[in-house]
Amino acid sequence: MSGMAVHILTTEGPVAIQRIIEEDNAVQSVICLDGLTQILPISPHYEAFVRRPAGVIERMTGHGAYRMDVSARIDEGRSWQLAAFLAHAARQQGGGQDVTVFATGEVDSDLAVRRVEHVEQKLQALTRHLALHGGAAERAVIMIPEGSGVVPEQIAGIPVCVVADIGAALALAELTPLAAAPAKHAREEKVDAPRRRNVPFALLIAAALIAAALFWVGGDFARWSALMQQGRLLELEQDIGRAETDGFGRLRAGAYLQWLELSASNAPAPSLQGALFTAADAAQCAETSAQVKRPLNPVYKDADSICRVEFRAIGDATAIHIGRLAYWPTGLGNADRPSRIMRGSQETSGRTWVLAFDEKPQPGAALRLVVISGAVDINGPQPWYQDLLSAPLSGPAFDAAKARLQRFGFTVTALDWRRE
Amino acid sequence: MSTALENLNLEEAKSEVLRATLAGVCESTAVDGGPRYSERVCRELARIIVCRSYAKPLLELSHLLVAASAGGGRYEDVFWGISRASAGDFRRAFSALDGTNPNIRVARNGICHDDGAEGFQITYTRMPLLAALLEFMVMSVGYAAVDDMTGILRRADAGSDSVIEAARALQRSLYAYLREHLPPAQRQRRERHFLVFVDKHAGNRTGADAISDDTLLEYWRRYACTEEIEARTFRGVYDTARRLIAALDAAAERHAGRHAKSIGTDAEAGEVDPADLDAVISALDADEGPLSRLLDTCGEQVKIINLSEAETLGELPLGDGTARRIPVSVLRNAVFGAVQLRLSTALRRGDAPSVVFPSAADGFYRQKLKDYADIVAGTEKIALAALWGLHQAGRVEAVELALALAPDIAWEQLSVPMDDGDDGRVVSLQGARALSQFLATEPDPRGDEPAALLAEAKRAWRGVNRTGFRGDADAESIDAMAQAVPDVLRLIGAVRRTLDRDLGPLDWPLFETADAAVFTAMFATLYDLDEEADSHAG
Amino acid sequence: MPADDPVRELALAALDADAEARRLLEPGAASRIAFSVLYRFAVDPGFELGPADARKLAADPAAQADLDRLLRDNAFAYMPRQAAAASGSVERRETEAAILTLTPSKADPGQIYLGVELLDFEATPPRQLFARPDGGPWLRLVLPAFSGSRAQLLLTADIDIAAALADPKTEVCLR
Repeated sequence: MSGMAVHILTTEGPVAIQRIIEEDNAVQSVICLDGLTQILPISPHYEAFVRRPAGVIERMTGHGAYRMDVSARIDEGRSWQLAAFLAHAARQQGGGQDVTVFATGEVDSDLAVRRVEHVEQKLQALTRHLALHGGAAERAVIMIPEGSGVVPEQIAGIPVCVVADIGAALALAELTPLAAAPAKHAREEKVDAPRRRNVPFALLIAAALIAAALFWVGGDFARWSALMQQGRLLELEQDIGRAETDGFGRLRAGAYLQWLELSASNAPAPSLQGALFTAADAAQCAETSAQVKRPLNPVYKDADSICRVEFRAIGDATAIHIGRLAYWPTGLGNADRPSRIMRGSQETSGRTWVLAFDEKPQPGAALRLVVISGAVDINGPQPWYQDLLSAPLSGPAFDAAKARLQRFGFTVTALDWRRE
Repeated sequence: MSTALENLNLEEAKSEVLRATLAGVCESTAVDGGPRYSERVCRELARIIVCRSYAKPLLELSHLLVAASAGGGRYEDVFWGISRASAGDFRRAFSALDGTNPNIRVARNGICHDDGAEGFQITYTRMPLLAALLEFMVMSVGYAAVDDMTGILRRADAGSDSVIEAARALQRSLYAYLREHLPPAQRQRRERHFLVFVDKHAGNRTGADAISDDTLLEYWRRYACTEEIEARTFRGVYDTARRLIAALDAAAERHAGRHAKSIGTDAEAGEVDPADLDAVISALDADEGPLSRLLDTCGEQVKIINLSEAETLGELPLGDGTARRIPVSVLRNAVFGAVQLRLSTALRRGDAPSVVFPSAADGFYRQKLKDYADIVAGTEKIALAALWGLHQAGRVEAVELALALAPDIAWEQLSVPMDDGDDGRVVSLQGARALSQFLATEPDPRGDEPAALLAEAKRAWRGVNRTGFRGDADAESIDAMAQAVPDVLRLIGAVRRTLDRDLGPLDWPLFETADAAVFTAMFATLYDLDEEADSHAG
Repeated sequence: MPADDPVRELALAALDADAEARRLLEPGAASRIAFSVLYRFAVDPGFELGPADARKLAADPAAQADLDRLLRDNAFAYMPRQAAAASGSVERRETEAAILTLTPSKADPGQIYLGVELLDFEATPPRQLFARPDGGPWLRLVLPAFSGSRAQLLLTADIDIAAALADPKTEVCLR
């Protein structure tokens, strides 16, 4: 591939911009399907996007009529504009660098990139497309407008970047900024000049950029790896958060997290087992021989007193299993904090928790067991337990807490019990 | 088409052009692919052409063109912009034009053109035929010519004079066209042959009264085996007799009515008045009878009569004087006409005919009569069920049905008593009040008669498992039911009259004995069968 | 009943006419194209003239004349064939109501842009373009939605209607 390849992100998958050709100025600009005579319904919008005074393309190129061919139908909206602008800019600059761009965004007359809808679906469609077709290029970037909601930092190794304006987009696509872009006639003059002199200079710049990138990435990698090895997960999370405030930092963080994911073991989640020890009444709980062992079911409805409970997490020996058992006497989350929190004890291939009740569970009492499995033991503050031990299993708070850990290669397994 | 025409002589070619034009109209399709014009409309159009009875329809069409051009619109958009040439589509089209022309009033059943004279009304049910006629005119005389001739109707002030002028222009052009393209009708040999025989055996009876069961049977027995005339099937002879009865009755009625002759008819020269001709042919159209009208009205929407019932009732000549003149022949045709059809079909297929011949012991004529009676009783039950559906929908047709199905009910229970001083009360039926009271009546099997009738109707509704009657009937089914009410009542009345008056008071066992022998012998002769063996076959 | 009895004569005449009417309605080998079909072809962009109807139309000069009138009457714009002195291919046709332009595509030499520009901004835009080359049948193109007063199609230069539009002897209707 030579030159920039531009794809418009759509909810049906990325649509390639195949070519842009100048047409007679008397003709209205059109977007056609795959070289055929089928003019797509968005063509009037493309005409408005191209032609002065409202259009921005003619301002850039000096020409007011184009034919653009795309690989698949685009039926509505203006979210193709960012990709179209970059394609025109690349064309204007002799094709651009060997970069693959996936973009969605509306471009206004001030060249700001505006928010568009369905970004999440478009990224999901891109994910599926890349999984099917591969093609995650070495140099590729995904551009989305600000305000697109929570999006992944990378997809198949391609960084997802938020762009606020055309300037930022051009930079990410390794195109010359507009102000420095040679005017049409100036470019035409340069056409005659030999181009060979530019090639080694571009290579030098690229090499320098790559070297710098490697330097910055390498330093972070070492620090983050160290934090991970020490189990200082919260510090690691905060450091990575700081790195993600700029584009290159996002790239670095994304690369590190990708590396983490690749190097994570694929051990299955641990199985959780439990047993209740009951007696006819609370007094008999003092006699171990009077206790009856029963398998633990999610709900206990019998009248007998519950003397103690035991849980076991049995998992893969290559992983480390940690977690907490929380006891809520009046129901899950129905107090500021659980009345008991047990860390459990490590076993050969798992962990065990034993909770002997001083205050016997009455109807409404609840237990929540959370097991976190991963390559290292987690140390230091772990604020995620607050939601993991109190939020409903199917709720967003629990999911968000779980996602924080999964991001760093840990799996979360949980179990609930209650007395009715 | 031009190549096919080259193979015909000039006369035939011109006639073929006419036939191809009429076929083009009748084969044209609606937007959904079904026929644009119904079969009945096509037959009426063919009748108008053949009888040349287009004067009145063209006058009606001219009025309709004024209405269709209302508000500066194009008549083409009304006539050919609708998806199908049906009364309903025309109603919708004209409703959309309502108010665009102060001289056109759009009503529930049709439109009224205030032409500055007496005014002219055209019902929606008439419009499909007028549309077919217009399309025929355009295709025969030419669109440009029709457009020019009717230009006068598109003026805002188009009144009676304009309508007459346009209608006359259309008549002249159609006359010229038909003179070129419509050949003289061929004389029908079978009817004339039969009529000559009838005349010889009529005694002092004349007209349709001269045709009797004995004459018909005798004719068949004499000529079935000859080459002189095609009279092999009893059914064929029966149909000939039936058409003659209908034609003679209609002609006699027309003649007795002393209708004004159409201008231009030379009666002295033997010319037949087109209007007379049209009137008599209408009487011949079996599909004008209540059964086919009912099937036409309901279509697939509401199954008041199913196919099997329609086929059986179709054996009864309900629309004419056939049953009165030749009652025995009606049942002979139903029973033995069917047997002969099965025989000839089997022979044509090359099968050995193993048809069971009715024997006197079967009581075949009485069974037939019972079949008819059962069907009409069933139809009355369906009508009762329809009463419930219409009552629940608040339709005024429910009253018509109720009055017809239960004429003996004391309907004055629904009337409003008026206080007429101290001497008593004057009770009068105030229509609208009575209607709303009836519609508000709740069914009650132990209540007053209207309530008890409704309870019966409700029970009948629940017992009917036919299209249009299941669950809650939708608006379209109710519409179809309402439209069908007059035809259902006419059908029930016609069948009952035929059974009671025409076919009832006869010695059927006697005819069964005689006819079993006669027909078995005739079939044996005609089809070279073993008489004895086949009468007990099966 | 005497043979000249008027009732008898009327009855028999009616039977003769009835038989003739039935004969006229018998399905036969040929039928002409119905006017309702021509009307639909003229006004309904979604209606395609089937091959059987196209053949009937081609063989029926009277129906062709009817279609001519249907198309020209109430046309949004009618552009007759160009003056006898015109030669070469046509790139522009103009009436008071609309302008048609043909522009070859630079992207693909085998394709050509057809531009339709309306001069009456408040008129309801036409939905179809009909073109009849000299001696040929009416060809139809369904127009896309107008954007403002303009619509544009991209045609393959070698299709019938593109060639017809470029021919000065072609008459054009917008409806």
